[in-house]
Amino acid sequence: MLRGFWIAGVSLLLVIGAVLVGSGRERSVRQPIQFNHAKHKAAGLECSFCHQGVDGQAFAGLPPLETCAICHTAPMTESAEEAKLATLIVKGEPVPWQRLYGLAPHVFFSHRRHLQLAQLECKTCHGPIEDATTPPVRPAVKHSMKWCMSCHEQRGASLDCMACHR
Amino acid sequence: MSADKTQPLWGMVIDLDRCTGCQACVVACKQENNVPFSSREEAAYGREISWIRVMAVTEGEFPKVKIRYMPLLCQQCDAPPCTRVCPTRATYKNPQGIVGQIYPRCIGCRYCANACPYQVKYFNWYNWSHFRWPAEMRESLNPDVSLRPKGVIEKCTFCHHRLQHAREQAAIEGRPVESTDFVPACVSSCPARAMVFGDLRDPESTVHKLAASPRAFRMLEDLGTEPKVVYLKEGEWNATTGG
Repeated sequence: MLRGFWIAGVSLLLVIGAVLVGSGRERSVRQPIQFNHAKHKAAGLECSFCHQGVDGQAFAGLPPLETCAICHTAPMTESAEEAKLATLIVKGEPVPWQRLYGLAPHVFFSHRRHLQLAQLECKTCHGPIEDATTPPVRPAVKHSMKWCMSCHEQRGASLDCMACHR
Repeated sequence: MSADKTQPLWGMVIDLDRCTGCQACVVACKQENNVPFSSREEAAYGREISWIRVMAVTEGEFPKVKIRYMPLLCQQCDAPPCTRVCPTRATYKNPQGIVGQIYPRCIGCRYCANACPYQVKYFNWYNWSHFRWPAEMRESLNPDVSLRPKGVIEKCTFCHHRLQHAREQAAIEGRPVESTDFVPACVSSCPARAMVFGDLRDPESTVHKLAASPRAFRMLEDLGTEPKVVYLKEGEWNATTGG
């Protein structure tokens, strides 16, 4: 009897532990508007049209309301998602975009360096995001240090710790 | 000297004749590198962090007294004693000869701080985060430099992040990094222009020429640490004659 309780107790702890570990691993990101990257690409927009810092700054940035308002002041489609955007534009409230890719506080990353100098394409690090019809809930590519280093080794980029760790 | 001879060898010359001990470099450094604040109590514990500090050396007794000021920062040794004792390679000398400190690797053993003959490696006792920083000053935090976590050693890096930007700019313009491309925050703030920065290997650079001056000396150079910070000795000054 006592042994049964023991086994039940230990298994319960293991289940709780597994749930805790599992929930901490992958955080899914829900965007306020079900944004369609592919449609915007088809309309002939460059990535830098919305992610304005991508060519010249460290951070690529998420589009401010003014950028959306250039085209979407009057609705262009029947889409319910676009209607959400139109409401925000009328109210003048910025879209609460959620960041998909986090950057560890001790890492310095510059989009400018990777685009202007290394001439990398966005999909090298972000996967086929330009063809996505819905916003991804988790990063397509996992940016681990090992992953960064393997690319730096292949392309002969700096392997100095201080080049990325700030 | 550093292994890679094609790279610039960054160094600094401090003219002690020009230094007035105004502490502008100290303030500029703290501002540039997000160096946490300190109080009188913490300083009494020996917990104050100041990547560059102005040492005041008093000589003689009243009325024949004189004070010499000497800005003291990481000497960026070419044979650094600190890197040899680091068990995790958190502190190391990079190809440009800059002694770096990689905070996520640092385990806070403080071997390096004790091995440093200049006492310019500082242990961070407090967990400074963006939210603990005084609200009025959060906007002025430098995004190129991290806030160091509790329990690691931190030190001057010759404003390595500025070098990174200079290197990036030079690469975009399709030219090598030149001696005049960047200066650390302390050098740019010095009102007396006592500090000069540049490539010690470039024979045309001001630092190279000044480092060859007969007034030049390196701090505790008999230890064989080969510092890349060069001081220019003060001219003889006599309190009785006033000149």
